[in-house]
Amino acid sequence: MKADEKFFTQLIRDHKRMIYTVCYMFSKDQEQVNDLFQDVCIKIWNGLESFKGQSDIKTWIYRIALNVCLNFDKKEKRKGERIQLDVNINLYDEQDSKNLQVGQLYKRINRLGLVDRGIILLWLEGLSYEEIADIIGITPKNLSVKLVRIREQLKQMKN
Amino acid sequence: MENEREIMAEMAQLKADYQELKSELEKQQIVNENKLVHIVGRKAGDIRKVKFTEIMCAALAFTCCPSFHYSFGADWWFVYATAAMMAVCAIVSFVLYGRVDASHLFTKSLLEYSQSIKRFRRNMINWERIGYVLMIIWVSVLGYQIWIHNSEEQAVRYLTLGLMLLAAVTGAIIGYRLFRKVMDTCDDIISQIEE
Repeated sequence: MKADEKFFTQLIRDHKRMIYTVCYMFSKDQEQVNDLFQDVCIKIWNGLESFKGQSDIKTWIYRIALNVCLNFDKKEKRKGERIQLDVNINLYDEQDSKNLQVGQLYKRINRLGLVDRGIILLWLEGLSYEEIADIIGITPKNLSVKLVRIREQLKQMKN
Repeated sequence: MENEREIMAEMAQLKADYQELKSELEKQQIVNENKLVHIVGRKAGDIRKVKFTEIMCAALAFTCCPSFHYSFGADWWFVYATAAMMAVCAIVSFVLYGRVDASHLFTKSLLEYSQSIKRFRRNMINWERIGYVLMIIWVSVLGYQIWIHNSEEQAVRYLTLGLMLLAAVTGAIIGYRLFRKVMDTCDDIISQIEE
């Protein structure tokens, strides 16, 4: 295995759960999660050379994942060999009580607009305001205003 | 105050639910990394192959220009004009697509990226209009060249003109369909951002 392959493998090993969560929040079914996950990994692979370490690797991966989710063509039929993700919980199964809470969370976040969805996801991931603002492309001040609005929206959805 | 407290409690619940999802995922393998490297490496190679094929097709089309002169005796100025037009089209496409290049995924923020998609969409519409005007002019001149250089044999003249028209209509339909596909993708992205 070449050095860059080793680095990529390690990168995926360390961040696969984070990538999966982003893909899950932007998908409608398991098949779409698989496709998105694969697309994000391909973009990371292709971008490894250009990553010069100016930003934190985690921020860099979030940036790619969110932009891929935005750019993802949901109608396109994927061809060729595909990655089958090995996840034993069916997050889309509402009957499963274990997934009920997560399923409700998913539904509410999914009703938000794409930018708001990205913001709340990064906030839930525990990123700082500066990091979220940098990934989304707004000022930290604007972000705090948006977060208040999103919180109110989520609360209203529950009601 | 009451409302603020309720919202904070709500958010704390949201974070707890999210942590539930994360801890559930912690127990999962999700993906076999070695298998993933194998597939991703191959897919990345496929993308490079597609780009190489596109460049080769453009180069081939470019070198086919002199065939207009040798096949039906088109004037050399028409051959040069065709080659120049193809070069301009290739450069414009390269510049337009370059502005939504894959590398932007790594460097731009979500909003910057969506802005570049909007700009790309606007430029594509303008370029499509110019492209159709250029194509109508080019096909008309090509028709005229076929007409004046095949005056001796009427059957050849009409057959060549017919084939040219068929190729032009087919090309226009394919071009329009590709354009619509690009537009639909852009609209999809923009509507997601603006919803």
